Amino acid sequence: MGSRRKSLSASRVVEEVVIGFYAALLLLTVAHQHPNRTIDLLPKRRSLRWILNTIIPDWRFFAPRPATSDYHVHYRVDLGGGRGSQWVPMVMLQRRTPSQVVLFPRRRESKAVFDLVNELLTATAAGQQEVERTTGYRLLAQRALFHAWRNPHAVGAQFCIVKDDGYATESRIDALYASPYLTFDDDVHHPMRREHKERT
Amino acid sequence: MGAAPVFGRLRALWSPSGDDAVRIGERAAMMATLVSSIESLCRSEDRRSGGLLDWAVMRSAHAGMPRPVRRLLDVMSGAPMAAACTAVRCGAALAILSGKPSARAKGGLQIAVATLGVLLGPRERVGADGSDQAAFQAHLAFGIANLSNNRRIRDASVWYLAIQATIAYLASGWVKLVFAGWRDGSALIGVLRTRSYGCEPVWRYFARHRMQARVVVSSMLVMECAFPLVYLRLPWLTRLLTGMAGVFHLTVGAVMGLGRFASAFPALHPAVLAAALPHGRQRLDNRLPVQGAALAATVVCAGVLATAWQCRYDVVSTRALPEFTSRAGVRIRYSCRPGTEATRALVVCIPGLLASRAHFESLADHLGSGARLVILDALPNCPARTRNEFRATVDAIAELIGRLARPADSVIVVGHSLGGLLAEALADQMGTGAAAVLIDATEPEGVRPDGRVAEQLSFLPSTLLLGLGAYLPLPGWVKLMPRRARRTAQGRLRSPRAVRRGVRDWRRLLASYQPLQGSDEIPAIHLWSEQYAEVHEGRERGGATVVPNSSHNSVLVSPASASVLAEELDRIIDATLLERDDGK
Repeated sequence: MGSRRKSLSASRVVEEVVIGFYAALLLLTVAHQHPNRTIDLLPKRRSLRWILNTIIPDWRFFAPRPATSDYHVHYRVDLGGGRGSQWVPMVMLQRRTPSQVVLFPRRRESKAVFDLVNELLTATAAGQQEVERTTGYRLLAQRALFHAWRNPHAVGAQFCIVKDDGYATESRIDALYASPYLTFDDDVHHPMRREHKERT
Repeated sequence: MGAAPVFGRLRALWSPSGDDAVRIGERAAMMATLVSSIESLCRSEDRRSGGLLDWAVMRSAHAGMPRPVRRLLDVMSGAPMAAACTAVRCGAALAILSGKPSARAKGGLQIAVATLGVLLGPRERVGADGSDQAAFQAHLAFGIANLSNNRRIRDASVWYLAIQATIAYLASGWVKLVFAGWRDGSALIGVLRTRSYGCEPVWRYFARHRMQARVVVSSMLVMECAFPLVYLRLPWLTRLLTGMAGVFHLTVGAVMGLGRFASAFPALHPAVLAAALPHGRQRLDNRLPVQGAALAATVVCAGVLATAWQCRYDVVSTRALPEFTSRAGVRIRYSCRPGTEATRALVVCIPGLLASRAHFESLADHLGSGARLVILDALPNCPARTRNEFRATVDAIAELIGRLARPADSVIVVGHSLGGLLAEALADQMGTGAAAVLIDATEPEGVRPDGRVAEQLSFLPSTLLLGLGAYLPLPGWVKLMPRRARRTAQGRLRSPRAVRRGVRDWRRLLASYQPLQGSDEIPAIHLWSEQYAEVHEGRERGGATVVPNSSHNSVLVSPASASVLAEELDRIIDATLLERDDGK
């Protein structure tokens, strides 16, 4: 009788803990849906934040302002002596096919570019120093250097972000950001920097 | 398959019990995870060196974390380990879809999939979308339900997913309503035009038939915003709204190339039906919604009390300040610091948007010239019917100066940010009678009451009114202020009344701003923070002095920058006094 009572109270405690956990998650979820995206009500502790970023959903899809343009990232190779290659797209947006309804692996790539570009562009208001601190800048800079690295005469690279109106044929291309010239000595990609030192 | 099992399955879909909600939902969620994992495995080049998800670069974003956490993330996010974890998620999804594992085993697999989702989150967050979030919630809740083998915990899990789905639709709908483009349908046309999420034939159709686009968007918004009505004990309404949501996800999956949405979100729908349909609600234990509501009410009440406590110092100390009312009825509160008799100078400081007298405390502490200091407590408050607020405000400050300045005083007007714009106009109005020192002054061409700053301020007063200000972090520059000033600044940033008034005054001032006539000739001295100088690179204006290592607010409030500014200001005061004496 006694052990049954103990087991009942233990199960009651587990129930209360689970309900409390769910209630806390729901509360944080509500707090995370603020219509003003610059207002962030989630706890800021860094050691906690990476978990919260995954556990607490952001349901504000395409809201309040949806993306109505396509972002394109281009890079060019710096060949030294003021010479440079043509601008080349870093990631090509794939033409849509019916099979993508079931499986669309390159959706992740285009969404990744969208996320990185958004992070970078948001930081531009605070100046280039702030831009260079973003993961978006560092990953795109590294990607540009990675592409340039294939050219044996390359001394560096540059990337830029432009946007257009997608399928609209009369759309114009707006330049949104151009990076400074990047060299292989830039602290964005350690293996390449190491190889560059060996090469030179 | 006989007719009875088919009928049973249809019945489970039409009117699911708690068990049905778990059984149907977990499979749909695992389908989304299976597709997501396969897609991720197909993109192994993104994880390699030089890829868009190269952990060697991404890890720098977690540099400030404790060492054990960084080590854990490094182990989990290396390319081979991340690929192995994704393969494990794939295997777990296949096992659950096969329907073979026991409830406990399923629970263990679901919790494992959710845990791997958390551990891979820092790496996979770039490129992830809403379907990953919905599937994660489903794995977590169904995993707990299956592992516990406790009816009340199962009911709480079902309620949890039902409420998450409700928040998802409600948030998505109401936040869209903020933007005019969604209300008139143009946002849908814009999204469909993109190659990323659009579909050319559908875009062309809606671009030609805007009314149809508006009808589609309106239906979507009605469904999303009205989704909480599923709990009204009206079975037809519950099924209608849930059915509309299901059709919506299928359409989005087909048209926008977001196929995973078509299984991830419908995975939550059986939980909604089980919780909301009258018979289901009788069977489910309702403790979670009740306790959740109680917790939310407690948090809001605590926030309101904390906000009132944080504002009390500012409210009391501001009431004690002298108030000046101009002939046009503009009210100005200000603090006054007496100077030395020998220094015949009056320095008037004008703060910017949502700033207070606290912004100038550091500067005042460092000034050594002995000038009399008048610091405006906030932007002046114009009566509601004022026609040109900008002009009325400038006139009011000029009147205040006229009252406070002694006959032989030199007047120096110091303005920060929007206060800089007022200081410039004031110097223009007073002519040779005043010098202007503009610290990170708002650029006249950047004056747009509907621009980026306005977006950042939207919903701020209502958020504070709900007591949520207590949960917002204070800007880093507040911590740089002297203790007394910090309490004032904190109270000002937390007070719904002060923020609402500040935002309103700011909008009205900018709306009535008119460029000055011959402003290039105004002898204004520009002081810029390093951040401001960087953003306005190439706009050299009046030979600005740049204060190193400073941002827009820290330039004024940090002791180091304030001492540089004070030195500069002392020099300007001395030069002004010298010029005046030479003139005599």
